[in-house]
Parts: sequence; C-alpha cells; structure tokens
Amino acid sequence: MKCRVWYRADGSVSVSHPDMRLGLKPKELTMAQWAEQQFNIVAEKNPELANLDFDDIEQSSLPADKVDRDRWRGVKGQGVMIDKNVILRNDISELLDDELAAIAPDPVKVIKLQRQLWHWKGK
Amino acid sequence: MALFPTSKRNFPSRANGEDAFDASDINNLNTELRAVIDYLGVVSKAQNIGLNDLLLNYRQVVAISVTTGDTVSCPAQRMIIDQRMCANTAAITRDLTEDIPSPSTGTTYYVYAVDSNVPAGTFTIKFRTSSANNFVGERKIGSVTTATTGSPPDIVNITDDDATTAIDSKLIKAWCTFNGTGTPAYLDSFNFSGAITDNGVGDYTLTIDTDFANANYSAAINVMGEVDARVAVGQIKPTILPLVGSIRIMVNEATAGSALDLAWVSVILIGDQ
Repeated sequence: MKCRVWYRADGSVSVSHPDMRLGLKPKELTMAQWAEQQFNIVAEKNPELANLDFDDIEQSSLPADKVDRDRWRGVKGQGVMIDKNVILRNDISELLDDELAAIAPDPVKVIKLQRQLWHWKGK
Repeated sequence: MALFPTSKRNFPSRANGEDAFDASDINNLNTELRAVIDYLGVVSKAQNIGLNDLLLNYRQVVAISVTTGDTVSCPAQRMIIDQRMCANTAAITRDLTEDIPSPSTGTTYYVYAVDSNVPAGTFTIKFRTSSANNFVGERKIGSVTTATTGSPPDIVNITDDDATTAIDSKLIKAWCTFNGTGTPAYLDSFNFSGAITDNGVGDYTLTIDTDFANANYSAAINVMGEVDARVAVGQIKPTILPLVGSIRIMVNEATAGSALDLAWVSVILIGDQ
C-alpha cells in the first residue's frame, strides 16, 4: 500500500498512511484510488502540508523501523533516508546525562547542555 | 383516540432523558416504548417496554419525516406530529414528510407512533432546521430499531448522518483510538477516518471527517504508557492550533519530555459543527 511522503522545508518528512479498515472504502474506488482520495483530503484540511512537495511511495520503501524516525529526511523523487548527522533533543539529553554521571562533571558543559535543552525547538 | 393525555404534554426535556417520566406515565399512555429526543438531540428510552408509542420531544423543529427500513412494510402504522397544546397537529404516514407551518422557537413538538404491532424494522426520524424561513437541511436525529414484533430492543440510537448541521454542541463529535507505533492505524473511531499523518516520533495529524464550525472545539487526549511504566501524556501539538478539519497532537514522556510512539492513543473532540 502506498503512503504519501510530504517533504518539509527543513528536510524532515511527514508521512500520511491511508486508513484501510474494512468497510470504509467506497465500492467504486480501487484501493489505490481510495488511498489517494484520503491523501488529497489531508492536503485539503492541513494547510501546512498542502503546499509541500510530496511523493506517493510504497510503505515498504520507508525505513524498516522507526527507531530513527526523527532523523528521516527526504527530497522529492529521492525517497526517504536516515540522516545520522541530525542532532535530536534526546542526543543532548544523553550527553547531559553522561556528563552528570561522570566522576567530575564539567559545570560549564552541564550548564551549556542544559541551556541547549531548555531552548530546544526541534525534535 | 387519545394518544397522549393533555396533562402529560409538558414532559420535562432532559439531556439524559432517563427520568423524564415514570412508569405511571407510560401506563397511562398505554404504550410499550417511548423514546425521547429533546432539543439537544439526546435519545433515551424510559423503560423496558415495546415499541408502540414513540415520543420525540424537541424544539425548533419544522419538519419531520419518518421512513422505515427497506425491508419493513407496515402501512397501517402512522406517525402523529403534535405541537404542544395542540396548536398544530398533523398525521403522517410512513415514508412521508410533514412540514409544520410557522414553527415557533422554543415550542415543544411531539411525535407519536400509534397503533399496535409495530413490526421489526428501523424507524428513522428526521427533521429540518430553519433559517430565515428557509430550510437549510434535513437531518436524521435518531432511530429506533425493533428486533421482533412486540419485542423491540431497549436501545434508541442517535444517528448523525447528515453533515449540514449539528444536533448538539454537547455531544461528542469525534473520537478515536489509534496505534501510533509502526504504521499508525486507527483501532476504532467516529468522525475520524482517512489517513493518519506521521510527522515524527509521537507527532500525528488526524483528519476529521465532518469539520467543526470553528477551531475552538475542545480536545481530550489520553495515552496508555509504555511497558516500563514511564508516564506519558498526550497534548495538542504546541504552537499548532487545531483546525476545523484536522488536529495535530503530540505524545510525550511526562518527565523528560521526550516524544514517544505509543500503541494506544485516544482523542475525543467536542464542539460546534
């Protein structure tokens, strides 16, 4: 089954997965048409997505698991990939935990990491 | 035929309807089942009685149509539309629509199903709302399904299959539970369907089938935590205001604030449609 990948300006992606529960699909539509209709409604009702580039790809083409979901990046026509260089809030949090667990934590480093977390705006 | 004692025409209109009248009222009416739909569109059944007299109590109604299911044939049955104090009374047969002329705001109207031996079937009640003397839509507000002749069920269903107007701002207009792990998927829903958009870990956009009238609806979001018992919370996505046709929500660990994908996320929306 296809999903629609929306490519956001910051490189991250949103992925719309169709609702394939039994009994919802209009008889006159194929599964693919039903999915596309749902994607179009998503665009219609979500202005933040409406103007973004997108691709309809097979769900199996997405990364196999969502462990690195917030590192998923994509460009239209090139699919979705995992960018290990993306720094997430959890990464900073782990650095802070590590520093605090050290025998002699560096107070300046701790404060900087705390400030980073405090002001973190991404994921 | 005395369908309804005059002294009983002013039944209180209650949202839950359960205590709107007592057993003696029912006996006096010689009915087997009464359903009450007040102006809020709340339907209830008073007692475990059969479907013989269906009472609908609502306000600002200008038209009522009653149809039976395709497989039901009971031409002898009738529905009576009765405005309080008998200002306007009209009888309709099944499958016909009767418009009440010059309806009055705040007036209570009653609908009675009369005669006995109402057969198995679904009885659908619709009404129209008015605006500046123009009908703006027809809406099914409730239905009663009988199981067998003389043995109807206890449940009166509220149906909401017309998107033009709302029944009641107090009713839940949309709810769902979904699994946010892996490929997000609804477990069950009402007025939520279509694609779930995965914006990242614990970050989902849900699309509402029938839009709200405005984006000031109320949202309740709840989640079931993980196996390691970390406390998790659901919330509207910070800085992303809900829209009339969609809502973006977040699931986070309560203490650290980290986003989480959880297997059970529930959302309830209430507001004007």
